[in-house]
Amino acid sequence: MTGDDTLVRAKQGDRAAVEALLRGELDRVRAVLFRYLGGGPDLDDVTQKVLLEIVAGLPSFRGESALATWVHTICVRCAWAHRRVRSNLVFLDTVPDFVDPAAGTEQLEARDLLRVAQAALARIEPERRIVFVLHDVEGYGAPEIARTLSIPEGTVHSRLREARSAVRAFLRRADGRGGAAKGGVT
Amino acid sequence: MSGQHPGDDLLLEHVRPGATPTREVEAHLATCESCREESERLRAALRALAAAAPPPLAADRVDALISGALAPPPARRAWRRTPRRLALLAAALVLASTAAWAGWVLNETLHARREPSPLGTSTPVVLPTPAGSPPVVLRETPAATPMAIASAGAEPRVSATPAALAPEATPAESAEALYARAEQELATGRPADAALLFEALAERFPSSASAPLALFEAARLHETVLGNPAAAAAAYRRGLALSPGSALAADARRGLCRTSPSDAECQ
Repeated sequence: MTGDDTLVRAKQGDRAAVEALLRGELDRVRAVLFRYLGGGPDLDDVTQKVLLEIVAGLPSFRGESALATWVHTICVRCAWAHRRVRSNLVFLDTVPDFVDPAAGTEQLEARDLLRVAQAALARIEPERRIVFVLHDVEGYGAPEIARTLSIPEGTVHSRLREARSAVRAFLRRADGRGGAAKGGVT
Repeated sequence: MSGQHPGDDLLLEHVRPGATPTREVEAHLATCESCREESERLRAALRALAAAAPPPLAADRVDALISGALAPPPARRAWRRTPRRLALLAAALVLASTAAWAGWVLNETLHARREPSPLGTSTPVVLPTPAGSPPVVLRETPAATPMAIASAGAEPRVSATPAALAPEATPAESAEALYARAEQELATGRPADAALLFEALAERFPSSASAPLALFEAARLHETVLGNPAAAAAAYRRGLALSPGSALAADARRGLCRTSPSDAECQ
C-alpha cells in the first residue's frame, strides 16, 4: 500500500519514494501477473517490465484513477503484450501431470481445486486466458476489457465463450463427469 | 429453462464475481442437484484462482527487481545515446541490406537463366556491384548457413543469415544451462538464436523434462515470431513425439494443426 505523500514525492522523482512505491506494489503486481502468466520464468520477466513502466509513467500519472487501478492496467497491458513472445507455458510448475478422471468432487481438496483450475487455464491460448481471467476471475466487464486491451467488444465475448467452454469441460473431466459439458442454452 | 441445463456461458456468467444472478439459472439450480454442485465448484474454482498468489520472492530477488526498475541496464540507453553504437548499428544495417540485395540479385539471375543452381556444385557466383565497389562473390558454405558473401580475393566478410550468427551449444552445457541461455537470447531480442538453442537442448537431452518444453518454445517462436510454419510444425511434431501425454500435448497438437493442417495428427 502506498501513501499519498509517497506518491506525490515519487511523481516528483524522489528516488527513495519511487523505491518505496515499487516495494509497496510488488506483491500486488506479482499476484496479478501470476493469474495471467503462472509461476514460470515469465512472471519475473514481466514483473520487471511492469516496474519499469510504473517508473516511466509516474510523472504523467494524474491520479484520475486509483494507483492500484493504474498499476493493474499496466500489468494487464504488459501481460497482453507478452502473449505473442511467450506461449501457453503457464503454471507449468504447478500443473499436475495427470489428473485422475475418476476422482470425485469430495476427493479433491481446496488445494487440488486450485491446481485443477490452473491446469484448465494452462490449456487455454493466452489471448483467451487473459480475457477469461479479467472477466470471470477478476470481475471486469466486457467494455472495460475491450478498452484496456484495444480489441473489439465482440472479440472479448467470443474469446470468453471459448475459454469458458474449455474451462468447464476440463473441470468436468477432472471431476470424473467425463465428456463434453451438457448441452443447453448459452 | 428450468428443465434445461445451462450452457457454459450462462453457468459461468452466473457464478463469476460481480455477476447479477440470473432468475432462469437460479430456478434451474433449485431443481437440478448436479448443476447446483457444478456451479458451486465453478464458483470455488474462480475464487481459488482470484486468491492464488505466487511463492514469495527471496529478498535479493526483490532488490534486483527494484534496482532493475530504478536503473535500467546501461546497454538499453547506450544504444540510443552513444554515437559509436549508432554507427555500428548503421553499419550492421548496411551489411544486412547488402546481403538482402545480393540474395535478390542471385535469385533473379538464377531464375532468369533457368539453369541448375551453380551453388549445388560449389561454384562461386560473382555478382554485379555498384561502380567503384569490389565485386561480391557468393559461394556455398559447408555449414547449415546457405551461403556466405565474400569480396573477391578476400576472406568471407559476412554471413548473412541468423543461423550463421547463432550461438552454439557447448558440449559441457547442461539442459538447464541451455534453457537459461535460450531464455536470455529471447529476452535480448534474438528469437532465432533462442529457437536454435531450444532445439539444440531437445536434440542433446531428449529424455530431460525440459526437452518437450524447449521444443514447444521453439515451435511457438517459429510460428509467431519468426514466421516459419514448416519449422514450427517440425518442432511441434517432435515435442508431441517426446511427450504425447503431457500438459503441453494438447497445445502442441493445436499448434501442429495450425501450421501443418495436412499432418496425420490432425486428420
